[in-house]
Amino acid sequence: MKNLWLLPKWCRTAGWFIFAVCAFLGLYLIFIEQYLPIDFQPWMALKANIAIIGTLAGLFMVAFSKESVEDEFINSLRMDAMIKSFILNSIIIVLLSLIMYGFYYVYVLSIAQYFVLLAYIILFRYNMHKYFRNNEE
Amino acid sequence: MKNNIRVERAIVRISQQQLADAIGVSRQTINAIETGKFVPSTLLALKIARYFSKSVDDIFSLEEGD
Repeated sequence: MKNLWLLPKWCRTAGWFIFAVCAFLGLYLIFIEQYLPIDFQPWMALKANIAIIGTLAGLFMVAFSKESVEDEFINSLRMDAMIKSFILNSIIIVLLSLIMYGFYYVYVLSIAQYFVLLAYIILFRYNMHKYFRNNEE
Repeated sequence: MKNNIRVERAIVRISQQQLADAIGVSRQTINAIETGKFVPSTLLALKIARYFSKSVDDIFSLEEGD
């Protein structure tokens, strides 16, 4: 059986750690340091880049790391979660586009880039929980 | 599509886990196939049939509307 190309299993734990640290850094920059991406300051831009890339990389590692047993049923659960997360992401972007205008739309785009991965992770974990809780014969 | 994997397992007295290990999938995959929540690929169907030394038709069959 040909499986999807996926990262090793340990990447999930490492991904959660990287995500937690970088997402915290990102929230700190936005809410505490009041960082706005329009005024370029090299040191702040570096911190922002670490937060953005780290958050995405962390989520990617969590989303696309192998399960203990990878087979076609799990691939189908991944596919199901992927499609639903794209639909959900599109709905969120449309709704936020209707209520957010001007500069605040930058926040919509910021949310959208993480939301699709985050939604995929939540939906896939929910699928796994639904089928992989104890359902012995 | 319906199947009689549960019956075949009962005949040879093996658990879902034993069948799963023999064909290289998770136990939950066998459970999902048995309960009709997942339709296996041709490859997996052939492996299951071969394990029970039967043809795919003996184990899997189409339902009305398929």
